[in-house]
Parts: sequence; structure tokens; C-alpha cells
Amino acid sequence: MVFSFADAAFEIPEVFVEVSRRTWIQVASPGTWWSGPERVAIAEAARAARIRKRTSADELPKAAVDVATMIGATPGYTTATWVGDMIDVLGELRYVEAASIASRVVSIDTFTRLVGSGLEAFPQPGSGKPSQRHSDPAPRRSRAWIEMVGFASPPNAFSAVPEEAAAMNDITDNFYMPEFDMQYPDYSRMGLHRTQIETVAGVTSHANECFF
Amino acid sequence: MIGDGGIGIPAGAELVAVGRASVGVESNPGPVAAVAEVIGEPAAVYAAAVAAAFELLNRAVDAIGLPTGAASRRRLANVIEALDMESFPHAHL
Repeated sequence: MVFSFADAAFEIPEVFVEVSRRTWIQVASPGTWWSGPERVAIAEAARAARIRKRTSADELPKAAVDVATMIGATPGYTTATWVGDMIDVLGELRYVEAASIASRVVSIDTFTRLVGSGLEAFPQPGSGKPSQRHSDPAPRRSRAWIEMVGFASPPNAFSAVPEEAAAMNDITDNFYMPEFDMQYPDYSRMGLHRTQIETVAGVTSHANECFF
Repeated sequence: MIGDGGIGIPAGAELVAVGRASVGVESNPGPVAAVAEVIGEPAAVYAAAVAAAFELLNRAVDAIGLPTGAASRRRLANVIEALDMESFPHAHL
């Protein structure tokens, strides 16, 4: 079964196992704007870039490979011009979906590496067409480089494609904390206090040169 | 690194190491194991999950160019300077 974590150095709480499995199933399924095979190809390209290995992605347009590579390996070096160039080729919604896939794959891969597991193979991609479901309400121009639904904030980063926003928040709610609990400076979970949680969060972000 | 890495909280130095290890490329449970030695395995594994969550969040905000608000910049000015964050590519979004 995917994500058995049999080779992990620790016992992995079921909540983290389930989020990892849901993420993999969602990545390999037909998306909103990309097919299942395309989504897995994006995932593989992001993983390869992140761990500095080469891969081929003949089934993807070059711009999609560029998005997977940039977001996978060097997200801090995106620019408005580069994002605009990618959107010119892919369209803004396909850009958002590709960036979401790349981001989430790196996240799950990071967890598996830190607990001593090998990287999990991606599932066979699902058949079927992308849903092409537009968000309701429609996204609007924001302070960021792309359109968003709601307030310009991290939980809404991929809100122009609702399924991707939901998938991202599934990871952050369970791997970090639910948005509602962020108001509590004394939050604790699994033996970690908020101060310890934010230490890890801050150091990770600094290592990624993420100014936000 | 600023100071001795202790940061004044239980397993502080070990948690810092987990954050730094998140940007590595190899499977390496050593930093998380070091946290477990101090504050137990559940907390250590959760720390790994937090690092993974921020690998996602960092990418999300950088993929869309989400700017930092002026109020946050003022409030965190000392931290930004101490950690040399003005050198980050997105420091002036």
C-alpha cells in the first residue's frame, strides 16, 4: 500500500499517513486543467528538480516543465516577469495547478526524507478528462502576481483553482495546524508548543530564502 | 548562525537542525531522531511534518509573488535585519 512508511525510522501517526496518501491520489487523478498523466509528469519533474536529478517529460509543454523545475527546486527565484511568461504560454489556471502539484509533491517528499523513508513512487495516473471547473466566485486581481479568490494570503495562494487550494490546505491543516488555531500563541500538539512549531517553520522558510 | 543555537526553548537547537535539514536532498532521519531524544518521538515526527508544510507554503507564496505587508515589515524590522533577509530575492515585493 502506498505510504506504508515501513522503512521509516519512527512510528508515523495515522494523520500524516492519510494526508500523504490523499495527496498522491489527488496528484495522479485528473485535475481541473491538467490530465492525470500530465499531473504525474509535473510531479516527477518537480521531484527530479528538487533532488537535482534529470528527468524527461516529453508529454508536457516546456513551460510546464519550467514551472515544475522552478517551483520544485528554486521557488525563491520566481519573478513577476517569469510568472507572466509562464502564464502567457500555459494560461493562469494551468500555471496555478502546476505550481500547486510541484509544491505539494516537494512537501510530502520532504516529510518522507526527514523520517528516513525512501521517496514514494507515484500512482498510476487516472484516466478521464480535467473537470475545467471554474471557481465561484471568480478570482480577482490581487496584490500578488496572479488572481485569487478572497484575501491575498497563503491559504488562498492557489484559490483560483479551488481543488488545488483544498489540496494544499489539507496538507497545511494537518502537517502544520488548522488556520483557526493560528490565533492561539499557546497552541500545542503532539508535544510541540507553538514556539517550537514556529522555530521549525521559521528556519525552514529562512533556508528557502522565503521572505514572506 | 546567531548566538549558540540554543534559542532558549526545549530542543531548540535540534528543531533548528530539522528546519535546515528540510532543504536537503537525502533521506536522513538524524535531525528528527535528535529531537526525539530530547522531547519524544511524536513531537519529533510532528516537527518533520511542520518542516514539510513550510516547504509547501514557501513555494505557494513564491509561486504567486505574495508580498509582505508594510505593517509586518515594520513589526519584524529587527528580525529582518538580524537574519539578513533583505538579501532574499523577494525581499522587495
